[in-house]
Amino acid sequence: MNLDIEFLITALRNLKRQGIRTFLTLIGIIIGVSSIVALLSIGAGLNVALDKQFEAFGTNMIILYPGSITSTRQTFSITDSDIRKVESINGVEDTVSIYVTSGIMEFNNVRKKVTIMGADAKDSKLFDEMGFFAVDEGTRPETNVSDSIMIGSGIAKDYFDKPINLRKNIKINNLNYTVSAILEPQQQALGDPESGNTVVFMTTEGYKRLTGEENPSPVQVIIKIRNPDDSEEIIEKIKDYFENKYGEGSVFVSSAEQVQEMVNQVYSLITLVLTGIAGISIIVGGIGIANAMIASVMERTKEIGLMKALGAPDIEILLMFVLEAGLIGGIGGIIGIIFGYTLAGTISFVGQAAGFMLESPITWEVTLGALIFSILIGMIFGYFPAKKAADMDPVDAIRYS
Amino acid sequence: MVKTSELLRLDKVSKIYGMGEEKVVALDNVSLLVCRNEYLSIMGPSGSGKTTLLDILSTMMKPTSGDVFIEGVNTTKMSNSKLASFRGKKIGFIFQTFNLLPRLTALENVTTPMWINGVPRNERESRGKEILEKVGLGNRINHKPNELSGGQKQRVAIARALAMNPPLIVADEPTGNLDTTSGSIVMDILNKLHKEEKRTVILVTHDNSIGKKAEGHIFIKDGRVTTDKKVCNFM
Amino acid sequence: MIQDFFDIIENAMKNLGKSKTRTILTLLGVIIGIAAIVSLISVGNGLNRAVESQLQELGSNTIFVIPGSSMSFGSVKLTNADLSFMKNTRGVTDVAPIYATNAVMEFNGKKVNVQVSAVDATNADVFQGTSTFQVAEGRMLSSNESGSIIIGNTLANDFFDKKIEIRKQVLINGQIYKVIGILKPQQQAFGGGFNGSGSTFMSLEAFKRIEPNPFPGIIFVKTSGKDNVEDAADEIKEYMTDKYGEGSVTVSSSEKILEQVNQILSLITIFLAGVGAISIIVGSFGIANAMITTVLERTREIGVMKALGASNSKVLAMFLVEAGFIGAIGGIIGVGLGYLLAIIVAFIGQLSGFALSASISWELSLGALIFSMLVGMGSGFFPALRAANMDPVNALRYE
Repeated sequence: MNLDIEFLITALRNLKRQGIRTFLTLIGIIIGVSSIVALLSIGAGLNVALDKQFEAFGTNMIILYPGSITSTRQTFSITDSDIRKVESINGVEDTVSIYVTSGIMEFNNVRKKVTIMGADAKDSKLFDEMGFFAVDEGTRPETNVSDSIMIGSGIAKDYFDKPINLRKNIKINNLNYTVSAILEPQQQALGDPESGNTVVFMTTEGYKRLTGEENPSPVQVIIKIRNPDDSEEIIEKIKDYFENKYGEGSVFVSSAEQVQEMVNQVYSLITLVLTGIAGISIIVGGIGIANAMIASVMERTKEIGLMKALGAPDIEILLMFVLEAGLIGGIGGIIGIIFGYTLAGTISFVGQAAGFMLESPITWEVTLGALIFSILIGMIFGYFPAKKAADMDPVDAIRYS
Repeated sequence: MVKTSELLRLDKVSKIYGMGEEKVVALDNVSLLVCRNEYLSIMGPSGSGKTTLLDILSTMMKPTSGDVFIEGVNTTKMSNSKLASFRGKKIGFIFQTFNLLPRLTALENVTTPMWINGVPRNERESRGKEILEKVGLGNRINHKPNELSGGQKQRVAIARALAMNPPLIVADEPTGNLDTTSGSIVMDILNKLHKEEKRTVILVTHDNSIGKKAEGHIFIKDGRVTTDKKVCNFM
Repeated sequence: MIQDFFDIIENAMKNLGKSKTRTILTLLGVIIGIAAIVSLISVGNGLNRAVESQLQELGSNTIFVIPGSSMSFGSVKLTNADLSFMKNTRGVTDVAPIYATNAVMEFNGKKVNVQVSAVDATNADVFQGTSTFQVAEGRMLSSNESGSIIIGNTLANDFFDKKIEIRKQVLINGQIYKVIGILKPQQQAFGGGFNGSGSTFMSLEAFKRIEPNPFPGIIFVKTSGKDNVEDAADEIKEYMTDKYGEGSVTVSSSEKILEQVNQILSLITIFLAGVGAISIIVGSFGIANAMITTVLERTREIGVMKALGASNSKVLAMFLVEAGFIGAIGGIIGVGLGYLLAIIVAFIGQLSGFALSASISWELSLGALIFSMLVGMGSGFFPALRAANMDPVNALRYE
């Protein structure tokens, strides 16, 4: 044990001697490690944010999208009877069909485009469960009420230059509606943070009244089932029904979990690719360590020869230099980890200030992984110079000038 | 242009290190006149300032006060690039530790000052070979310094010093790292440079047996100089 | 003067060659960094070109009118009156709507939901020559063939477990149709254009059997020349906004779409290249380190050079050129390697159906080369300055 400490102290002293060159070598590793740590942290943060948004769904929800998720234009519609059919499947407790359109809202003599979402469920408690459209002030309109709306916090505040209070009257596409509730601000993990707050929500009846459509086509149907274990079976039944009627590929049905997994995978892939690109810099940093070690070995040729003459075994010389290289990697790694998290923290702070739900979690996996990785890089790239030192002929080495 | 055989003139040159109480006066108001075709040695106890004197008269170091003239031109006032170029053509250096460029061959070492000082490419090799032959190393032109003995290395250094055909050769303990035989070979060459090629050779040494071989002697002690060299005769 | 320059370069080459391992290692850093950046930019540019060429095929004086913006799913249903307006807009020569809807296609015992499209026969010439509508097998529809269909390549091969061959019959919403042509394979190039690979095309009459009130999914509006495109597009846009509300109909010229796609792609490319640039930054520290070491090792040499007549600026030049050299050689090899990587990535991409290509341009090559030289000289600047300002007397006596 004493030996190891001595090694470390000697190694540190040697590094300090070389001053600016060790510093430059370190910077290489620091930059590489901090960029990787920052990317991984933000990537994990995005995943966390996404997970939070899916948390609301829980394990007993199935999501249905008409049309395939890869087609860009949706020309396919699901009818009300289709939805009734789904509701009649054994095990299905409730469904929420979500309709989306846009319209021109008028208030305070200002006309502006808003996004309109229509939805209701047999049991409106479902909304509260999902955490969607949480009400801040007022009450949710009943299912068959067609002239009350809920407005997002952004619209209520200043979208129309003047705040809109409860029970105010507004016009959408020249039809009258009353504001019965104002929603809490929503946090978005993706996309424009304000988009969630400039939405108008109404019941399906209200939606039908607005668009004049008797059979509007939902953009998404959320299906709540009683027992999560039935999930697979129910998904199959729903699929079968639609494929028989409209053909394969007409709808996309999946449990909320599976959708979440898919999205997570895509994000993870992107994070991985970016991290990979940033990771190239660590390789370059490692090359820098190798270069620096070679110079170091050359300069200390006499010293090495002396050590060997005094009886130090080759393996000790090898270990000494490998340790030094590993130390460079390690120190660079530690500083890089600190910088990386600081950078990620700054980015997430700025993001959150702008309304994005961006976090930069500090995970022990990333921290430990980065540390071990940087030490390893140091040792691997320092190995060959170290071997050269260990293999030196002590007689020649002492005479070196 | 001054038509004179004046080669090197030190005019009230002083070199002072440090300030106030910790002042070290390496050279104290030294004046000296050296002409063409002189053979001088600078001698004195260690710490007497002889290295400083050599550094200053070879224009490698600037004095604290006073002027240094080479061929009548005031080098003390010159810009760095002008001075470097001037020095390259007027002064040849020989060092105790040879100071050859380790990764170049003997020939490449000799041609180095040639490319630095603008000798046309096609002249370099032939001139280099010529000079190396003159010092007896015609058969070693492609050897690297680590393949040469001490005496051979110093001879390459001498050849390098002659590359630009300078009127002044400055040698700092040229035989300090050589054995007696090689040492005397080198001294013979230096002698020839003075006698046959009419160059001025100034050498610094602590070895009196070497030093007394010169024609004129400069003694330095505590920064002050005395000399027995003959006075220059002006044309 | 010129000779001086060559001498300095020769000297730099010699010196770099003497410490081979160090030079190679330092070079590696530059090569890897430059290769990363070049390959990313190359693929990014290749993608840009692919999108450009796809859009160009659709015509440079074409306006795309798409009912329904990306936000609103309630599709605006354009009427014949709307089409007439567009036809009468100044500068417009042709208005060619593509009608689209979904239907159930049955073949080989399987039912699949497919997109069915139709064009008015009178507009056929607008689409001729575009790669969207080129048949690989069979032939195109001639006017009034209401029992025949053309199917996209992916639909023919991948949708029904068995390939749908020419002259085979399929059921669409219960009606029999004969396949008389299969389109050429299309590659995905993000954004813009109309990808018919999973589509079925039929005559307008046949389409009306499936959807009695056809509404256009996308309308190609051709103008007489490039100059009228902007004005015509603005006019149509105003009309649509007035009639259907803001943002209800997307009106865009192929130039505008191209511009927008270019912007996005450029941003992505720059971002990726920026990440790749981190390697170069690390590499530059490697160069700086190598130069500091080399200057330190050659302290005596520097003293000798100055004694031999090298001015400070010459010494500066010597070391700057050495550093710049590492940058230059690393840059050349890095550019070559980068293109190689880009070609490999593009090849793999193409196999997976993406229109990836490696764009090799002299701007990129030259730019990368100059960049790496500058990086080299910049990184080596301070060490070189140190060498230049070294006191020769001390340098000569350095141990």
